[in-house]
Amino acid sequence: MSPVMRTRRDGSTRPARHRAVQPLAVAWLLVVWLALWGDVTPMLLVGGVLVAVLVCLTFPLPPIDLGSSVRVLPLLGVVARFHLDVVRASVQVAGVVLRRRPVRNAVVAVDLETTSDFLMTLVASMLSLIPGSVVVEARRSTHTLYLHVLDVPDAAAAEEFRRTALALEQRLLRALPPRPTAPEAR
Amino acid sequence: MSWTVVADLAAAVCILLGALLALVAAIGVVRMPDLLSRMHAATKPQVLGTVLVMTGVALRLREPGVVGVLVLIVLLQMATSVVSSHMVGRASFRAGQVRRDLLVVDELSDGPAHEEPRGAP
Amino acid sequence: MTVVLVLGAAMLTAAAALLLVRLTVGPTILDRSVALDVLVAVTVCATGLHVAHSGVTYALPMLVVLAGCGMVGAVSVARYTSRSDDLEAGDRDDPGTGGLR
Repeated sequence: MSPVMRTRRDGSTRPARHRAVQPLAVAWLLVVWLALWGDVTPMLLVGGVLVAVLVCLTFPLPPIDLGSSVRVLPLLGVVARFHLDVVRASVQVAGVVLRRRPVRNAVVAVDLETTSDFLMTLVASMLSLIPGSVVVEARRSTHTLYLHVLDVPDAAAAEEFRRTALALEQRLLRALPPRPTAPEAR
Repeated sequence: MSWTVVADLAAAVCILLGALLALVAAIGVVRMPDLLSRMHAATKPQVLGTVLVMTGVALRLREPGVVGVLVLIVLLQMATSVVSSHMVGRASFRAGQVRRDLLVVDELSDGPAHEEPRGAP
Repeated sequence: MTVVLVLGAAMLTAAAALLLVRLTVGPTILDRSVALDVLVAVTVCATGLHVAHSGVTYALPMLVVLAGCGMVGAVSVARYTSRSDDLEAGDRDDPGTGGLR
């Protein structure tokens, strides 16, 4: 996403600095700063906040509209399941690489239920990291992901994969249920 | 058996497994028949391999200050591998470099032609 | 521990050699960029092994940069091949089937 542009009086444009400093972004940048130093001292904290604010002002981005509330326990479940899936995916793909049989693939369309861009991005990136799938194309207007799936012997297996992908989206929707109406529009 | 010996053993197992996964990823990149299959081999075992090697390094060094940097490396590796695999996959599909004889189902090419509305990123 | 590190280094060297093969042979530029991407990840792992061996942690911020910027090559290559027909070596495929553009 590109920042909101503002037109000056002489016609040139520049990124708007409107609400460029977001607390969440500053906190995340501060964590990165402390991780790089590998230590926590008052001096590093102050310097980190200064650098984070400077970065936010130099590279302004529009605030992410999450548009959903967060349920902690299901979210932890999703994260745990995700790690399990990453390990299983790696073992499975390693097996496919090392066996002799030639591999058959498929391109499967998955129509997502959610209409939020944020959730669609999250589902897409999680699907890219777990069993044998890469997002080939994403259509924002219809909320469709096209996934290239490794090792699909027949059409039934493709259907099976579509079900797992939709189940992942359902788990994510349970963890981050969308708010019915956004109380504050940007 | 003391605590350090156990940590060293765990580190050894992690590093060996991680290196093995990196090797499997390389074998996959060489052996797989077409680009998209190669990308599967490239992204997945390689991400877990990096995670395992970094876990091994953390267990071997046993310094709290280093853990932050290692977690950062793993997070960046995960975030960037998703982006690059999607970009490469999309480019290869749009350029028509996909071996269709390997595809069982192809719902992207078989579906009706679709024009994305203007303004969508 | 030294034996483990030598074994790991040997495996990573073999991986790098195989990737160099794909980097040289790879019929299209996308194949090469994927191989390069994995090569960067192997470099990250190898530097990690060196840190585990020597206990010197100065190399770790370099790994952060590598992990963050390793994708830039692949993304920019992918960005600019989507427009052109990079098929001069990919004759095993039928270019006429790419009905997506």
